[in-house]
Amino acid sequence: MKPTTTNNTNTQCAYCDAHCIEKEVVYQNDLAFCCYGCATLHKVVSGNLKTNWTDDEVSIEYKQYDLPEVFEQLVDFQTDTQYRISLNTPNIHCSSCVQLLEDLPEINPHVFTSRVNFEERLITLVVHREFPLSSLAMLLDQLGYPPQFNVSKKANEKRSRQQQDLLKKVAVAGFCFGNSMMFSFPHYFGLSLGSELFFSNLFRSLNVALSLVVLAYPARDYFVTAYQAIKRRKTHIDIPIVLGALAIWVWSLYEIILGTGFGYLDSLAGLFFFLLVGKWYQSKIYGTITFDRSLHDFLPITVRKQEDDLTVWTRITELKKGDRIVVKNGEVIPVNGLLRRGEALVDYSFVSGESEPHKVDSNQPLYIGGRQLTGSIELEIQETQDPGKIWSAWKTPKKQENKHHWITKVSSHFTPVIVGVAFLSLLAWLLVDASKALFVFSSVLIVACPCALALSAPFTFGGVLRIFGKNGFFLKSSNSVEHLADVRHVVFDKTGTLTQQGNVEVLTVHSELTPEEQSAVRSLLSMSNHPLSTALASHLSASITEVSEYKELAGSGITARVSDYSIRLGSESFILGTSRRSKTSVFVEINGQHKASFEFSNQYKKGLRGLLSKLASGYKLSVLSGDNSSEKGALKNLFPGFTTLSFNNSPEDKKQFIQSSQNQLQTTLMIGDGLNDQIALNKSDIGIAVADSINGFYPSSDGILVADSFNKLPEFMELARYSKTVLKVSLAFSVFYNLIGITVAVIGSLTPIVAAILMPLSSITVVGLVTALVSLKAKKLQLI
Amino acid sequence: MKILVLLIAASMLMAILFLALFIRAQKNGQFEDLESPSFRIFNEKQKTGYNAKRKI
Repeated sequence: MKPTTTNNTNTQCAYCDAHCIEKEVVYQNDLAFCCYGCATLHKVVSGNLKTNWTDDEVSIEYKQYDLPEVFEQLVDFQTDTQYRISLNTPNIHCSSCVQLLEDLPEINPHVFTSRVNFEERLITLVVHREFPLSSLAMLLDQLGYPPQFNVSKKANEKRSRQQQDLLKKVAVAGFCFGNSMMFSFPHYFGLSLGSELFFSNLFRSLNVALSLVVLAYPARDYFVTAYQAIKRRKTHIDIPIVLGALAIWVWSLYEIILGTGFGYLDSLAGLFFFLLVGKWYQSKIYGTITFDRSLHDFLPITVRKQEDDLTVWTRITELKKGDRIVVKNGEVIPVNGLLRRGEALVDYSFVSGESEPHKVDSNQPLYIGGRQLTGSIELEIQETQDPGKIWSAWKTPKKQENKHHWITKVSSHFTPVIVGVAFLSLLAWLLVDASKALFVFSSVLIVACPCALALSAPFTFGGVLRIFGKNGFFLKSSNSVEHLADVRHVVFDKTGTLTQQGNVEVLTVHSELTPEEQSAVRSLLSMSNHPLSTALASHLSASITEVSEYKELAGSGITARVSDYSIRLGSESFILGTSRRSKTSVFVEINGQHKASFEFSNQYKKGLRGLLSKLASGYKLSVLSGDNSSEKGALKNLFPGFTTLSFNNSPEDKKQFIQSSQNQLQTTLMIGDGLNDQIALNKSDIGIAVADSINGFYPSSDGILVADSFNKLPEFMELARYSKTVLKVSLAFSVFYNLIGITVAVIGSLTPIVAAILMPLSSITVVGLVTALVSLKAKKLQLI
Repeated sequence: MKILVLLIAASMLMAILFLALFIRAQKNGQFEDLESPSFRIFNEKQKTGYNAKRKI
């Protein structure tokens, strides 16, 4: 029995006694548990857990992982007796989960060791070779932790290497900063150069040595980026940092060599230490939100190969000339090939942006990336597949990010201005008092260092992304947070977004279908991926047979021929030519006779009304639906009066709608299910796919919102808006600080040492300020 | 006062030692997952510490 999740409050877990979080309570055999982990542990303790599966029981989705070629790509390594594999299991969420998964060897003797990485939701297993990967996946699935197979491991490895490298740099910078400060203390406390010349020299030499370490290792990346930016004649926020750092370093060296002072090398080390900590924090957040941007993971790495009458799962790169593969309705064509069987109507919009589907005749070529729209087809492969070609053909054109980040813009003006001011004051002081000139020059550069600017954006957006991630909202980039903050117009897709997914109730209004006819209707339905088809197909119970002349008319219905029956199935206007029903209905016509009708009740997401009333105060709202207007009444009731409701929209209509909204200069947020509205999601300024699990792939969206968190949308948007205010506050602070600092420095009454102390202090203040503001707001919005 | 030289050398050595220890710990993966060990402590059946990973 699959445990069900329901809302409840004030429940205690029957296994771990913990207080159950509302919405996460799992009921099983009338007992309440705080999570699947506890529910399963209870099952394990009471001793009824299945550990072996026959071939038929293993889900076809997992079976493909047993193919030797696929298997080899997935495992970390293997010997004759065992293999090791790391799997992503996003459902891990508490100590019971960890305990259960690490106890796997006791549940199943084929598993030798099991190790959980909680932060990355990763489980590493060593398993006996006799226990196939598919069974392992079934075992984890049954426990409530369906694994995600990840072929593009290399990208993750690279990221984690970078992260480790950064941590090392932080450690070295911290080491240098701390020691450098120690050696500078005597100077702070008034050690004069004359009295203890030996120690004074020793401290200064050590500081120089430490500063060389800082420049050579932790600071290296900054110099490299700055150098590259200058080479390409572009401004970059690293340039003033590098310039300021160099000014301190050269000035300090000058002082030390001439024996006129101690220099400010401790501040130099501190500067890079704080900068690196900020960078590390940011990359850690990105690591937590593992978001696969590459298509490798989505690519249907195995395809259905037709061998005589059998369908076999085969790896795409194993296909040879002459092989035949099957592509079902709504699926994406994985390889180039010739159409050999079935009728092909292919939508290439994902590849070319062209929305009109192409009708392809028999024996004509079909190209990779197109979506088949009319039932199943069979392709014949014309050439051996080159993996590189497949990957490159699958790369999605990235959304154009032509708007530069305004902070980068500000800093690009900031840099020349500061350098100009620094040089002007250098000149002025050369005329007035040459001995103070260089002193003023470096003071200006040091005190005006825009590091407060450089740090505030990653800390603000990083914090926001982290809070979003904790609440099941995953954005691809921090730019999206800003887009979200600018949104004026929120557009919802109806089916699958506003309605409860997989919870459509089907009511048979009347049916004169014989068992044979029922089987024919169900065969037809099984070829379609429309939500209503899926719901109706699971409502009817019958076997499936061959379908021909399949044709799906978006927004209307399906026609097809199944053995002797010519079937038309669809909306009322499509079948009867009338539109009297108030509910979403599907009518069935067989051989010209109206045989059956079904009604569907759309269940809108719980809490939708509350969400909408919150959004209504600040945003323009719209609903797009591919469905008929039968739900108009219900939607009108739910949505505030000014909402635009639009029905019978084709994917292209939805795109047009977004476009016209953008033409009115409204930043538009599109929320859809990521399947039937990809073009619109791509077109919108920010497109969010609502998903039941985060393993789905939505190439055209900027982020994924887990269905359970849908109601928190207004809070997310509020926080995004607030984060922009925070950024402005920190910018204002930075400008204020810089103006005062520069004025004092130009006058000549700011010593470089005070400037150097003030600089990291300002960074810390800014970081503390933005972090505190963001978390306070999140607390207020009940997001943490 | 010259004794300070010894102290400075000792303090530097200690600092370098700690830095080396940190880098070693980091290489061993101690900072990869900061949360699971705190859950693992409740599990009585597991006898091995973080070294269990290296047995594999």
